[in-house]
Amino acid sequence: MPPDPLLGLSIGELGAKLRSGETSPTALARAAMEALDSTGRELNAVATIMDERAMRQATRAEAELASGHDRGPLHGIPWGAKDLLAAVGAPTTWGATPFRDQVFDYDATVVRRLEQAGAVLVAKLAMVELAGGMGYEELDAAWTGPGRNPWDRDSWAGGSSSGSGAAVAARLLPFAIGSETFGSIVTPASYCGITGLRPTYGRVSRYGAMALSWTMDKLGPLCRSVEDCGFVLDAIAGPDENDPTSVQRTFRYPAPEGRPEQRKDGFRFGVPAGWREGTEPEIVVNIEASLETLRQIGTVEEVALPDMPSNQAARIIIAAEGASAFEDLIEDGRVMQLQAPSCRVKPHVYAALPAADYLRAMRVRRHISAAYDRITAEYDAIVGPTTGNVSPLLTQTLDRSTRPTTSAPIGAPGNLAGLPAIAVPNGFGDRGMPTSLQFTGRAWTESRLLTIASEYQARTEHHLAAPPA
Amino acid sequence: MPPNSKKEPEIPAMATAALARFGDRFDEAQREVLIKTARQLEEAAEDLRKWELANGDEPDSAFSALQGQDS
Repeated sequence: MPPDPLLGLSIGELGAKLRSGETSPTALARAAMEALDSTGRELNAVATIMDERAMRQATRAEAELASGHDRGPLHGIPWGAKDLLAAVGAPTTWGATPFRDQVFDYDATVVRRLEQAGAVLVAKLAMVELAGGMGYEELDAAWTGPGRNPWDRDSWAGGSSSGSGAAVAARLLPFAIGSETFGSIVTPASYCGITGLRPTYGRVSRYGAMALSWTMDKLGPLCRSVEDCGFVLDAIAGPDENDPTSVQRTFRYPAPEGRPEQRKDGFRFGVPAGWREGTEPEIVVNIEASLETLRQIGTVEEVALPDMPSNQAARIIIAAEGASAFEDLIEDGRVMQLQAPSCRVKPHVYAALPAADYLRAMRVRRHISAAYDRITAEYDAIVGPTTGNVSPLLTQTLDRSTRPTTSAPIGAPGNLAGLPAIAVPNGFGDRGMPTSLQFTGRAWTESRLLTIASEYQARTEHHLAAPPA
Repeated sequence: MPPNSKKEPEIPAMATAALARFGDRFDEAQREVLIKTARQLEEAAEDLRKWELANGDEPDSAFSALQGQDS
């Protein structure tokens, strides 16, 4: 049975129907769970469907809305959590066989905040085991099986927020929460043709989320439009005493101060010099078309990014912090139960990384952060392809030395510096698979990025395209 | 010169350390993956060592003393 078409509406459209009585939170929750149980499982996008909790939350939302108690745009909207977020009522498996029975008796801060906003948690969504931190090369690196892409089920949904990307793209849910240490929100957004927002490091509390790399992990929304990402970030952002890295800053969407200031000639965009190199030709064509669209609202100029060892630093930091976060798993041998053969071996090397190498990477990182702060301060956004390739076929592997996937030139430094980024669909490429445009900004400029990306989506219809039912 | 003097490629120190601790877990194919991974990480570390750092360049990690009351 195809998913209820209502699930394909935006959060704003659904909100209007909920308030007019055309649908109800319980009807939406049931429809989402049915869609996840059928199409979602075919896509290997589901870890656990949370019937009991979902119906309890939906019933409460229904009563509140009926009594005029309106919690805002997410009230009554069903959503799914990447299965690294602790939530009462379901196991939290981190995508990995050794944790299949893991249960927490508390909610992650993000889960709690979305509940306070009235959203209805209907499922835990599949993910690459341990968020990909053990160096997976195989695309079926999850106990749920390979994350299948709704645009072509023989292609990959991306990782590590595979289920979050696939479920939103397939119109099974209006939004989901994913996490990104290095590409895990923007890559599934790119491959699945949806909009994904990676907030500034520290914007969103990680309390109750699996830790892979304490200094690089971020949580953020995967949605079908920029506006929807804004609504979700509004609900989940803000300081949290349980996460010392969360900052004392507030975020509101829409921004109360209105549209961000801009120059007379509009926004200033920088496009990295050499961005075409290693980028698939169809993606080059689509990005050039996107740049033309952006010239309607500003200026586009080439920017030379500094030649710094960003990929190397990110790799060593994630390996060292991941080996520490999962030290017990490596020591006691449960790491050998992981799905991907590569993940059973590589962590043993990560555990042997010299402290001096990790510290050097963290010292170089400070230079990288400073350099990219200077660059991003000059522009409203750095723009370019989110990934240099479309989703690979599931028969491929991600050998890091000859990897068939390439990330944006600003991917590694953007994550090292904790910069916000938003990925939006911008057409189709090889094999008819989605392509994506990424806006990266200076730290704490999510409002500006959302405004810019909204302007882009107001001028294009790529984000409205739906995969075959 | 002995007949089999062909030099074996050196096993990276990280791989040696990992094999010393966990070597009994791996078959030959896994051992190769392990050595390749160690080589890649050593290359990354070598690239980072080329980046000039001053004595005062601190790691980009936030450490602060726990919050308390002045007294």
